[in-house]
Amino acid sequence: MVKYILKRCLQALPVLFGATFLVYGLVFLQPGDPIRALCGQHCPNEAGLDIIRARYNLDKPFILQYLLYMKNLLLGDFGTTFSGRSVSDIIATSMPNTIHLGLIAIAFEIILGVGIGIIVGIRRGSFFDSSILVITLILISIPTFVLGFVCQLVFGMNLGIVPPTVGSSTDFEHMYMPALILATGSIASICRLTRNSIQDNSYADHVRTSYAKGLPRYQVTLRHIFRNSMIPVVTYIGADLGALMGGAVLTETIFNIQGIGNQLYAAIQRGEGTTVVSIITLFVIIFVVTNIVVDILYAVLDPRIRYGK
Amino acid sequence: MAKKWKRVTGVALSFTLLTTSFLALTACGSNSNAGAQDNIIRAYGCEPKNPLVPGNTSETCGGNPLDLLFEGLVSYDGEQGKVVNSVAESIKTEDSQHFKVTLKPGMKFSDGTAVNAESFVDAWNYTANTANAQSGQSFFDKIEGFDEVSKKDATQDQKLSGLKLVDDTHFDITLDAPSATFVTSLVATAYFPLPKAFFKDPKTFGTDAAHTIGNGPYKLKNYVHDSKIELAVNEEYKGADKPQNDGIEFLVYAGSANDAAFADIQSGTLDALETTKTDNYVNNKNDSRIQWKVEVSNNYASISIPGYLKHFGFDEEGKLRRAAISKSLDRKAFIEKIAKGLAVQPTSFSPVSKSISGSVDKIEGNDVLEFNAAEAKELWEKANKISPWESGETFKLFYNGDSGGKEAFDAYANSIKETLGINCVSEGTSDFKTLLHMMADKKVEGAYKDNWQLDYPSIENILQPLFKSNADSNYTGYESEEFDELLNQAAKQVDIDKANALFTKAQEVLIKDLPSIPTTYGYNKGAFSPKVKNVKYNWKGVPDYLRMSKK
Repeated sequence: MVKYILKRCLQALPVLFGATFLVYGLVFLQPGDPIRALCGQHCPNEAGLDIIRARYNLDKPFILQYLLYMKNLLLGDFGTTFSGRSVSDIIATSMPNTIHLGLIAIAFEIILGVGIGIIVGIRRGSFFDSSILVITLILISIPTFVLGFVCQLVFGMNLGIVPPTVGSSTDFEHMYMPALILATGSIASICRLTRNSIQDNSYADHVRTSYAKGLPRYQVTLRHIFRNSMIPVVTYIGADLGALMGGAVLTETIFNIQGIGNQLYAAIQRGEGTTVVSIITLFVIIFVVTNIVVDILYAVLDPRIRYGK
Repeated sequence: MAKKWKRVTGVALSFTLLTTSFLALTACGSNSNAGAQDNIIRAYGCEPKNPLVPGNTSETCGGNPLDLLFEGLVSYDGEQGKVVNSVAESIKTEDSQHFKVTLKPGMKFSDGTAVNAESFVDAWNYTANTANAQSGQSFFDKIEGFDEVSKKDATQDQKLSGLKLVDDTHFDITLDAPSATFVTSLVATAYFPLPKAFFKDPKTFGTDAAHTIGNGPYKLKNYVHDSKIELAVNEEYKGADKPQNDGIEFLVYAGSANDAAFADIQSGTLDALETTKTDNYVNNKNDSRIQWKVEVSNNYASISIPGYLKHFGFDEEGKLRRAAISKSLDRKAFIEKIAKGLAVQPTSFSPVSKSISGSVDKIEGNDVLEFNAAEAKELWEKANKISPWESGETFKLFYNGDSGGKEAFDAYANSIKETLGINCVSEGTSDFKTLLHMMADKKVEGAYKDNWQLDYPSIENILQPLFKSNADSNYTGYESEEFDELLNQAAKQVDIDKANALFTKAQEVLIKDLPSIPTTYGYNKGAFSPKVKNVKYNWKGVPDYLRMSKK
């Protein structure tokens, strides 16, 4: 097992380098001069601009810029923004808000997604089952930002039952609507996944055998159907953690949550390579780690899978 | 088998327990901040692009707090339309080139140190010097010795020779050439004084409350990046602008979260939003939860046609075509249909306002700014005789797509297309910095959106930087000896009215050449809480937060 984890971590290295290189390149290729945009209507003269460019290594060729950045990154220095703030500070202050949002979203996914999925999985073919199928289909098709703006307008502004934005108050009262919206697509997907998975397993040979040997229905459902059905669901939730980070960019902008997604969006607008790549690097690390954890969980859930042989 | 099953359900169970307990915990911790009636104004804010240093701030996110945290030599009274002394006791000049400044005695920074002549001279020398790379550098280009300190290899100890320290409350300013509007321009943020503490550690100044020391009516109480900028009344302040509230809290909205801010105005968590989208105004005009304040903004708005464009040189052909384009813009229809009435027909090169000294509603030749299809066609045909417009040629209108100009520029393009019968399209760049880069490199393959925000309340601040030969923001490459001479003449005046008369003449030269075509001047569409009293805009188009009150 240890050997397997080590191998996976080593495999993650090229992913990390490839991703940072690509993202850094994309930011570099963005049209426009970020330093000139920084000062807007008024700028120091060309000589002054050159001083600022040199400060952020922007006067050097692309490859050198990237290597200098990576060198600092490996030394644990995420660099500074154009406004002189350290990127690690920004991540440290905004990441907790995003994690908070993400955790509430995942909680919703588990409670609503898995919960409803189990019910419709057992009571397949019922009216409830078909209505859930239709509702989840609709929810999957609505883009996050549409749902976000509509809910903000209806529940936040017109009805006034939830605060329309989050701002600096990140308690549950302010966060649950954005989190629910962020999780909507996944809730629907998880619901369907759980349902299908339970249905598939209900017809499996070992389930039939269990019934035949006289086990009570609830024990069959709990022991033999659920456990096997959770394998794809766990994988999905794990992989979804990364997707939530990406979705957070939209949700955080709509609801003015001071999280990492908002920072990423602002940094892209400013053309600030160091910040963008640092945040993306973090995302990649989260992605890779959750994937490894999911793979290990796989083995725990399914004894047929063995690693490290 | 059973053992393993227990383990798995154990893991799953603890996970669900964890998340539900987490949910319960966060639910308990929730509280609401609405309800309490205090006299603190909660205003829309955004994260400053730079630390809060006056000489290095050229955007409103940092500029709005700075204007309350600092006070310059003079300020502008928008209601009377004139410059009034703030820190200055008097600024005397006989030739608009040599100025003798006397400061009011006993003025202090929020840390208790004195605001003296040195605070100004040192701050100005610092900002003007290339080695410090400050964005406000160009504000000092009129002062004698600027050429030296702005050289590529300038060293930090070089000083402007035009600034002479006399004693604690006196200093002299000498300009390279006369400038009638110099005293007016001193209202700009870049001219604010800096305390001794700044020069000890310029790098950390303005990054947090402990390191931000100003001389304005407010002091920085708390600065949480990406969250809020809290200002409290400064007890050390002895000037005339006494705050009418107990503090101002700029709540930071990230990205382009203007919609989120508008939602907060409606729900009552925000008191002041300086401007919002036209749609928000039109759809919520009668909402009792909002106090609207709409008036014409002081921004110049235009479509500039660069001289390097084929057919549009600054010659006879270019002149005819520019006039034709201007006359083919149906501004009235645009104001009515797209701007929903929240824009005005231009009559000169600036909106008419008391907040713009020298702005006039009548200049000779301004009929070129009115829609006239027949005349537009005629002018275009005349130009075609000089050099024909080929059928395959396209006239492009560029705008920065990140600030919602699509509707407007599609409408302008259509108007030109229909009137002149030529192929005309609008094209959005991904963001402003892309467009700016194209403008600066003189590589825009068409006309482009060119808006200008005033740095000081004078018409000169539109005419000089945008249209004088080789000026900083003259990206069209426009050059006119006659125009330059009129500006130079105006600069030499001591009487501001005489200067303004010459600026009007300069506008009349400009309107014949039309390097930039005024489109329509927009409105500030500010949304405020009904609780807030005394809502007004200052000359910058920013709400006058200082005079707002909830009592």
